[in-house]
Amino acid sequence: MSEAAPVAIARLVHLRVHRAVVAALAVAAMALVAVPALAQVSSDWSQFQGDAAHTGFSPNGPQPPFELLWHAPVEPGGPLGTQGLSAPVVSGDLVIAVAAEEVLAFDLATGAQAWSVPRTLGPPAQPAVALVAGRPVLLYTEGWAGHPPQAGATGATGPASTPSPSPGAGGTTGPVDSRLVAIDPETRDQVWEPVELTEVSGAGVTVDGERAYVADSNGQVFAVDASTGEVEWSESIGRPVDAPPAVAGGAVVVTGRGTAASPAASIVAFKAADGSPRWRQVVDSPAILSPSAPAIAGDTALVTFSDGTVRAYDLDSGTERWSSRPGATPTPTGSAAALFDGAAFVTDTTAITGSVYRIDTSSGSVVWDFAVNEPIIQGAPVVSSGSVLVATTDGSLNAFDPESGERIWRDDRVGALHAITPAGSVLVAVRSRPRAGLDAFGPDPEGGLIREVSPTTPEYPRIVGTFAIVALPLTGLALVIGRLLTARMAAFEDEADSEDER
Amino acid sequence: MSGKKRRRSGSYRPPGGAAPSPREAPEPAPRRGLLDTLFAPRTGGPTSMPGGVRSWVRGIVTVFGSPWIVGTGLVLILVIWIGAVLAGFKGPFALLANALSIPPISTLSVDATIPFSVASGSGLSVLAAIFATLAFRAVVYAAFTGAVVDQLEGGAASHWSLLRGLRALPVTLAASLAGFMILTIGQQLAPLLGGLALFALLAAVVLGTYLFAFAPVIALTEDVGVLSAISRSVRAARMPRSGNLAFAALYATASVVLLFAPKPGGLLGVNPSVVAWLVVLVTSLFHLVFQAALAFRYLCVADEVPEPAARPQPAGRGRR
Repeated sequence: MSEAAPVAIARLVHLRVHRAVVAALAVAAMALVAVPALAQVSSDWSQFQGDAAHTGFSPNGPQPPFELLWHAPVEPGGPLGTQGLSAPVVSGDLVIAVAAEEVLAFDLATGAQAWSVPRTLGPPAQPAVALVAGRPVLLYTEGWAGHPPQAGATGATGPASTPSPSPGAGGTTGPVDSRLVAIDPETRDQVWEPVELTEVSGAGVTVDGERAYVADSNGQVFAVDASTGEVEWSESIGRPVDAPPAVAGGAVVVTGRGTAASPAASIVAFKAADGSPRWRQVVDSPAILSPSAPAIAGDTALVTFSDGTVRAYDLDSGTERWSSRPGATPTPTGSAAALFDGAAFVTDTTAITGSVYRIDTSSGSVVWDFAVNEPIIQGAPVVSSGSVLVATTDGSLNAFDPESGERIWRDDRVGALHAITPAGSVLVAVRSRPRAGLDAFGPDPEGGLIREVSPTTPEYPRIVGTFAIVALPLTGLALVIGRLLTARMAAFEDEADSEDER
Repeated sequence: MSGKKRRRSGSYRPPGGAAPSPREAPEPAPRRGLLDTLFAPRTGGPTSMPGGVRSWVRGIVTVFGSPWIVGTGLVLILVIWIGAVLAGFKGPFALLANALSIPPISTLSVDATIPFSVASGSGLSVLAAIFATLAFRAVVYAAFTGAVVDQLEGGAASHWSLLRGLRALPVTLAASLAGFMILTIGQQLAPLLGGLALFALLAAVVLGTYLFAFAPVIALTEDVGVLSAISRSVRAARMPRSGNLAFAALYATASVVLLFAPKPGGLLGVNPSVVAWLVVLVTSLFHLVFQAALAFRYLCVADEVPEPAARPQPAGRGRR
């Protein structure tokens, strides 16, 4: 309903004409959007949203229907016992996630724990896997910079698109023990001496080729040579960074959260080569704005904000191309976008409802929406082959047709689900209590698909019919009551008078 | 019958019958109240304001006794919903439970939420959509005021009543705008109030209902301007022992609870279920009944509302 008529017509034409060649379009989109980034790393899901550009697109990921293959239980840890696993990454046959005080690796086929490495207590930020001379190097952050979570603090239990429990810019109250660590996932040996950060980092690590990028809650951004651990450059954006930088087209894009002193969020781009500033945008807001991790589609950087807006910036100049507010309500945390077929898939949420949107990346118009009616917190969508996958805080895993917006599959289990990670033919996701750990889904040969339209798709005859079913008897009943009461009103008033006088 | 002298408190009778007469007891000395510098001093002693139960029953009789009011009210909900969906609103449908409530309760739900949801683009377009909705709601409020007053005055509500009600439009528009401003300011102050924000919100809603609820009836029946109607509404509301504050508080609290309570139709979706329709339509009738009860209460005490206090002459004026 919110579409402008030309857009609706264009969509109709698109559906009719392009349905037959959608596979070719998908391949083209892969080539245009995802492949440049993917080509620089392995085909594994090596970092947040799969690649350095954070496209959230897995060209060879599994397709629904799924069935649960295995569950690896991991109890939340940390001082409060609330810190679950980070979003996992994939390295060969291993799926690796960061817990509060250890790094855990599981066998992708069976879910059996392969190894664990102790880690200095820190937010469970998403690790990344870089390929250095053909060998994988696992990079993760550790340490809490002297101020681990206290009672009442919110623990970072999920992917790096959500705010970390950091104290904000500055204000270190203890010894800084936050570091970027690199280990060989096969031998678990440290590859190089950890890189000291200036503050706690809950953002997660991004890798682009043999270079790693990490940012901390002081707003300091580091570019590190993944083969030597040498800091190639370091720059500050002046705001706490809660999400991993995105890298594409020679630019490193970083988002910074607003603070009480300065509620505006900022998006800053550096030249990847030397860290020199490329552009900077500030998004004003009366309330503190939390931006998502950026996602880069070609020459456009996309960021969603906690005020419910999605904004597109020219990667070269930083000019805002469009701003769209697909949902009705602001959402507590910006949800990173998944990119596929010229579209961005984003989610928003309230305490009880959540929606998935397809947004045209060239115009910002909403192509479709689907009201999941479950909260979607830490729920960056993922496109696995031709399906949009969304996990909800109520514990369901949902698959949508990216063209029609229909829900085509759904699985519902206990425990919040987030951080979907396609890993070859398997889909791994993090589940929270009461069934905390990793869930792995694989194709279900006996399962079936559904075709469910969003409850926000109007059916006017049904609306009027349901109204009539209720309104007609209700009107009759009201009139009967009215007649009866009118007849008895005089007597009632006399009685009421008496009561009043008493 | 007992034969004791009956005090016909709250026995509003439509024109043609015996109109309620002000009590003959001498007026007690005016008591200084909180707002006396702005409005009239509060009168002492009991008033002819009917009790709460009687007001509600009279409200029910007024609304349920008129197929016109019931039918128009229910159909209007359908029209509002279809209009909102056509404009792009995605739900929740349950918001419409307060579509026929009086401001600022309606402002809490329908007047701000739906326009904010459907208006895209700049803040100005959102603001324009909110004001358009406020204006529409003010027309609805005024029209139903005309209908219930006509029904109370012994006539039968009709489309002419709705038209007559439009005389109260300036007042209902002012009340809607005031409600919007109160809630907007409240929203800005909410972070400063912390846990008390919800209570402050409820207090603002109760206060708005308490002080301004009679204004449309006054504008309609006494043909006065906006400021006079609001001023008289405040004075009528503050009549001692009238129970107006409790009456308004009960209604406002029930409405706010209804707004925030989990209920069918509380999720996103535009095709409401039978149960969701039932809840919304019954609640809409509840709001119309309250509107009628308010009108009844005011008409019962219309002759007893104290006049505004004369402003004291500043010293020295007129000496020349």
